[in-house]
Amino acid sequence: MKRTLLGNEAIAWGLLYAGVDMMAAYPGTPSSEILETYQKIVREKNLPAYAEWSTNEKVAFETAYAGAITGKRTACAMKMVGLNVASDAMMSAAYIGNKGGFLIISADDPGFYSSQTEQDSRYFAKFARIPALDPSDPKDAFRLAVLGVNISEKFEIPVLLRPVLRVCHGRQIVDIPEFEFKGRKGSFERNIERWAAVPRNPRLKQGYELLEKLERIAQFNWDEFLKEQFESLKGGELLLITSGTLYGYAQEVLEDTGIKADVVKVDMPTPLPAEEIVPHLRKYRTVLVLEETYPLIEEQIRHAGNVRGKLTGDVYRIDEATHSRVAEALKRVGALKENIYVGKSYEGEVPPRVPALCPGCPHRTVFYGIKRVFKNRTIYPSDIGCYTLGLNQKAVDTVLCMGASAGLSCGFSKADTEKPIVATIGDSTFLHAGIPPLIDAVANRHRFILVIMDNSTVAMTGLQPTPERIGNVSIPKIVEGCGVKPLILNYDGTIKTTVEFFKKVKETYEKANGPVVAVVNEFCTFDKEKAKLPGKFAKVDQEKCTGCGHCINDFGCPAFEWNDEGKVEVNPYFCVGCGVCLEDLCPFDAFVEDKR
Amino acid sequence: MRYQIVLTGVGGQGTIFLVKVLSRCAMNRGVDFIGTETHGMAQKGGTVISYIKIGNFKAPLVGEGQADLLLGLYPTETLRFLYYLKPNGYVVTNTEGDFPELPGFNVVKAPASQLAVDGKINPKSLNVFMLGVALKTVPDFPFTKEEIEEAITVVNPRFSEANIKALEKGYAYSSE
Repeated sequence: MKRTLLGNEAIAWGLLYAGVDMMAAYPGTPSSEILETYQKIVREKNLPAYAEWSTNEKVAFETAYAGAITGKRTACAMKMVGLNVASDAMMSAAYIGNKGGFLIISADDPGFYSSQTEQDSRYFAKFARIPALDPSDPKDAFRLAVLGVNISEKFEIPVLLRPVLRVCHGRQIVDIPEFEFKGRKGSFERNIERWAAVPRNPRLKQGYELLEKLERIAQFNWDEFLKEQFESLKGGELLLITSGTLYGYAQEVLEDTGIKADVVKVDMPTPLPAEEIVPHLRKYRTVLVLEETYPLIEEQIRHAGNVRGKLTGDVYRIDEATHSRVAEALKRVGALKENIYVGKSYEGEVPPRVPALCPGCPHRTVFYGIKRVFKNRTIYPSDIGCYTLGLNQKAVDTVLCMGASAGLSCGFSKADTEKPIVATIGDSTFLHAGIPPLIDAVANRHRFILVIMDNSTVAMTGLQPTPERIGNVSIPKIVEGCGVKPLILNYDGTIKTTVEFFKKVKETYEKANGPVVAVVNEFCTFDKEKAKLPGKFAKVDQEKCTGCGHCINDFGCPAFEWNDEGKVEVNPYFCVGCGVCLEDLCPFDAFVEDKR
Repeated sequence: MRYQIVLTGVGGQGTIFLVKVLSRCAMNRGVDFIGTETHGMAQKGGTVISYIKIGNFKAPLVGEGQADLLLGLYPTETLRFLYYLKPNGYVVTNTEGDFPELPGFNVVKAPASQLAVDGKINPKSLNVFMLGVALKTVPDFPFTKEEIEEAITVVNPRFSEANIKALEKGYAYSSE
């Protein structure tokens, strides 16, 4: 049946089509819709399959991998920085292998749209010595998800599927053939030498087996994906070796510009049968490699001598693929005279629109309260989530990776003893990677404040449920178990209560000789179950507004705008009626209720 | 048929819904479709841009200077992404107050935010209202009103009545 699908939805369909009956994931843009869709289809069709949101990517990996050890077909999904967290398990699982097919889906984000790095997950596959598949569009993502599961089972090795943002969040019409879904009964069979292989000899043996497997997979790559393409090449001026979305861009740019060149699509960029490929490359004057994000294919075939790409400085080396960047590369190799992808920009000024916390978001009030109490001479380590945007209120000084607010605070507390430290972390991030550094802080008496901003949802990635919501896991009890009795605030939508609370936190901190933890129970404004927006809309009394800018600089609701008179106005289209600004924000009480 | 649309706005305005509707229209018509949408980081009020390519296309993004239509749900974001439009392409945009002249392009304006605040259109259907404006004013718009109504009904049956009403209002607005 034909459907219009997101790439992530197509991947979920692919998993089910391939008989994957167990899946685990941790949410992260651009990967989150894979498990969401998988779960939705399983529920709607009442399929015998299991899906879960795990506590972090490593747990997701291990949960799904265990299924594959018992002979089930399984998958785990994450964004690429999540693969860093799961990498410990992945590196080892590569040696051990699996019985049922096991697909690791790691979604890359070229262009840093919602990620702190641009890392190329295909390199992780090469590093771990497992195959990687690189889909070019949603249709292809369906095809390669299915093939990935099959290849994994055939060679008893984890396979990595690496869709990029524009595949995950690309939309296309995908034909999903009818299929009958059958789960498998998992059965763990004791094989201590395999599943519990220890150093040195059992592991060494697995290492040799892995190398031999890789050679077989490279040959498979040639036979199944490449041989026909390369053997039909006649040679000439220019050959484009493409992978992922660049396959689509290359075809469109050739069509738009009328350039004649041959195009090869690489489905599996690693392991690559370079010795089979290179003789064919020599039939061309120039070979241009187009791939995202790093030069993985190029590195493996550059010794042909006529290969150009990122390593030769001919192809862009950072940011995402565009028509224009492909055209520039074709210009560099002499195939194109002029880049046709040039538009006319608006010549006037367009005010920048920086990412900001949503109107009505409790995080904003909490950051405002923290800032009012702890002022500027404080270090504010923060973490990965919506609340990173507290940087607009200058209440976030560092963003490193999941859980690092607490980890960095441990170090700051010993390295800079002059300044107070107030770290902020969300509930899901705390459960994901914030607990070990808190334990470290208790054990080693690191003195800082950890504010857990708890809206009991993964808001950033689209409101996925958290352990609190699905399993009654209690963050205050965890904190207490680590050795600190947390101070708790039930957010009530007023600046007054929030500031009073942080004054109390400060008093506690002044007497403390270890970490102080504050848990603020909040809500996400998009959370239909929990959001409390009283419908008190705001406007600005223009007589009272002095244009001092306090509300815009220190609170920064996106509904506040400067007008031509140098005063502030509330844009009624953005105001959600949280009512927070009506009291204790403006030094001149200029915010008044806008009765609608 | 080959038609490329760049759709811009701010988070929460429902650009993704419009991508779903137009992709559905393409499917029902039996023509190819590829596009890409903004999910995730764009909170309410953040910049959002989606790409819609109807016909035999292979790549998800629209090339600069290639779009036939720039459909803007928020004025600043329309101007920000003007460079995607081809010469003499169409701009159909929501405006607030003054909107600059854009020589070299065909511009259709509608004060949709104000209509929403005044209660004349449902703020949640501003996206579909603007689609209605485009449908009426852009001569080579790839789908008919009936095709769009059908897609709207399938993509979100619960709100189809409100959305079709908004489409009608957009369609009628521009003919005034």
